Amino acid sequence: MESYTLFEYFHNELANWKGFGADKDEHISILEDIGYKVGISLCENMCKDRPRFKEEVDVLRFLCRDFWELCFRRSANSLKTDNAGTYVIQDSEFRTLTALSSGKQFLTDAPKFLAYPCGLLRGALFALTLNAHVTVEVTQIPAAKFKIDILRK
Amino acid sequence: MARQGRSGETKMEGELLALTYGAVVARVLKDYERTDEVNAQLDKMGYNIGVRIIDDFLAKNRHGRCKNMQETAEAIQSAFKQYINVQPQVGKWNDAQNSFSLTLDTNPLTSFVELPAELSRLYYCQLFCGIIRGALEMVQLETKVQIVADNLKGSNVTEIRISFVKKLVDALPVGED
Repeated sequence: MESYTLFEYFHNELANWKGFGADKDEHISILEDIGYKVGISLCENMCKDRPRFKEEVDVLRFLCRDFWELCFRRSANSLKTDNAGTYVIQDSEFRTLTALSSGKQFLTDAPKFLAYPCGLLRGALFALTLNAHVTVEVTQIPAAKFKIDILRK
Repeated sequence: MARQGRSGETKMEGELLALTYGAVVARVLKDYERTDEVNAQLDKMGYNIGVRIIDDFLAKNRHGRCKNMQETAEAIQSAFKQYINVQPQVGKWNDAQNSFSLTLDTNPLTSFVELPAELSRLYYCQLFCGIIRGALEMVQLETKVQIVADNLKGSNVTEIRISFVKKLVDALPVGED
């Protein structure tokens, strides 16, 4: 059963879809917003019958293992933190970037394949009561470095 | 953190697709007032997916060339099973044996969805029609694909009608007989 395969074709279509917004930036923000809404509902459904997370870092561990595996089909490679509300998650083969040939040639195309995922992560964190700012950096496709800043209430 | 069993994950994968599709439909509805324009956008998205996913399907299913619409219908039936884990029934053939219906008792795309009355002309699952039409075009079959019964509009099934239009011969540019 491969509904993930169909999801991937669908996400690639969204990334390339010309109907979202007048320009590249608007397209990116619309994709991020779609991901955000999905991330909230998906994470709520995933965590319905899970015990509450004790520590903030436990939420981030859940994000870069269970949530990552569901949405991106592997666990992230590493989770680092400065213990002041900033976390960095690295994935050496980020799933949505594998749609692009590796190396530096398509770096300019990377943002539209990362907008929806960033929204997913922000939405998942929101569902777990953490307001966050999610940004991503790509220096070499398909590796991606996500920076998550937890916004203090 | 307990690992979810395989079935748990499959359910969640289905939700990832259904929730994403729902958010996209909501977005397209915001951008276009007229629902038939929304249907057209969803159909176009589906078509773009169909022309690509056919390669994935053919690669994973040692399908020889479908000799007739009956075999084509069976191939689509197995594709639904493979990609959304639903086994539609094939039936309601016309006399000419070139038009049939795919009937889905359950529809994973609509599990979280209720359609308000003012959206009665929206075909929520138009994406499926586009995917089928796009995939069949890649195997030289031009078809008309439309939703004739919708589980979001009181019917207890979703029925997709697939009608053969013409064979596309590579040698001729599309549209010339």
